[in-house]
Amino acid sequence: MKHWVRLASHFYPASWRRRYAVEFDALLDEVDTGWRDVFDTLRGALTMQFTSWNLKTVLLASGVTGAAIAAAVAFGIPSQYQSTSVMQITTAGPAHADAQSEVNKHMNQMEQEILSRTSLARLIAKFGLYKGRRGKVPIEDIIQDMRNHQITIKPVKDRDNRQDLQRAFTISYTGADPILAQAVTRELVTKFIEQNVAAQRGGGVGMVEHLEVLDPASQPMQPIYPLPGRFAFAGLCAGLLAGLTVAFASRWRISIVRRPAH
Amino acid sequence: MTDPTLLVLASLADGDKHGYAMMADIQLFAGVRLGPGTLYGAIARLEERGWIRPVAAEDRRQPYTITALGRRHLEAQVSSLNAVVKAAQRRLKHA
Repeated sequence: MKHWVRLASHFYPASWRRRYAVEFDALLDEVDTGWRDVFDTLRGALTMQFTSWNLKTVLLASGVTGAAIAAAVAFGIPSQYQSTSVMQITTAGPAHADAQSEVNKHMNQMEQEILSRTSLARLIAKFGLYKGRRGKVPIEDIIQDMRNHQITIKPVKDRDNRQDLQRAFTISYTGADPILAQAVTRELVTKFIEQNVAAQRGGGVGMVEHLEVLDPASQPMQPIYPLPGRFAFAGLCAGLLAGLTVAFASRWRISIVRRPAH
Repeated sequence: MTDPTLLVLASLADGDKHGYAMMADIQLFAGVRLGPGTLYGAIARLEERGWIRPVAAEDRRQPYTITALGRRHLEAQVSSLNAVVKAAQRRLKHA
């Protein structure tokens, strides 16, 4: 164990080692050491390093350490890929409030049906999704997770702010496998088309005429999460902040201790 | 009282000691075992402030002595601690 303590003492600043290394070694020859002493020496060495550095060195070291840790964490998190498709609903009649309300109502009905428990449970079974989680987590939780995080349906913003007869929206699915993400998105698009056809046959679509696919399900090339660059930047900021806090706290502590006794 | 700098000053108050002697003495009078890193961190800080200084060594072990400045600091700290102890004792009696 003395070997580890001696090894830890090498982390002290060079000036400290020049001054105290010989007597520190002599002390180690006399005491029984354990792991506590290894950590104690390491802590002492790092504290001394930190207090002997200037602010620029402290910030540089803490920033680089923060960025490196965050990047390592990012590489450890499983990648998530997102596939997106764009669809468009067209109404038959003139663009007025009734037509918009008809489109919204029809969209909500289709969404509800596609995101229903039965529909999503079929999707899970068909593509063998969440195999690892299915045995551990209730299917209801998985389905809720799909609705809240994995599947996204949102309208495409009308850049010209036109009140016309069309409404475009995107459907996305996010998963760990890019090919599977694309297949699931494609299946969701098919479900929308099937729902629309069934509604048209049933005569319940009012002024809604067409539902067409503008962009088929995209093939994800890059993960959307985690992005190591963003993680590293966040780690850099956190490291700089921590370094700044510790530097000021330790300087403040030293100045308090150095205050002359009355 | 577990402040290593005060423990080291208190240990040196009754005579010069090297690192191991201080460690053993502190364990005896305060029941606290200072690790090597903590002890030498305290020694370095105390020497830097001029509260202790090294004296002639016969071997690799370096003895230290408390300076007049260090003694004054220790006295100030002890009287401040005494005031706290007396106040606490008084309050405990009346509680």
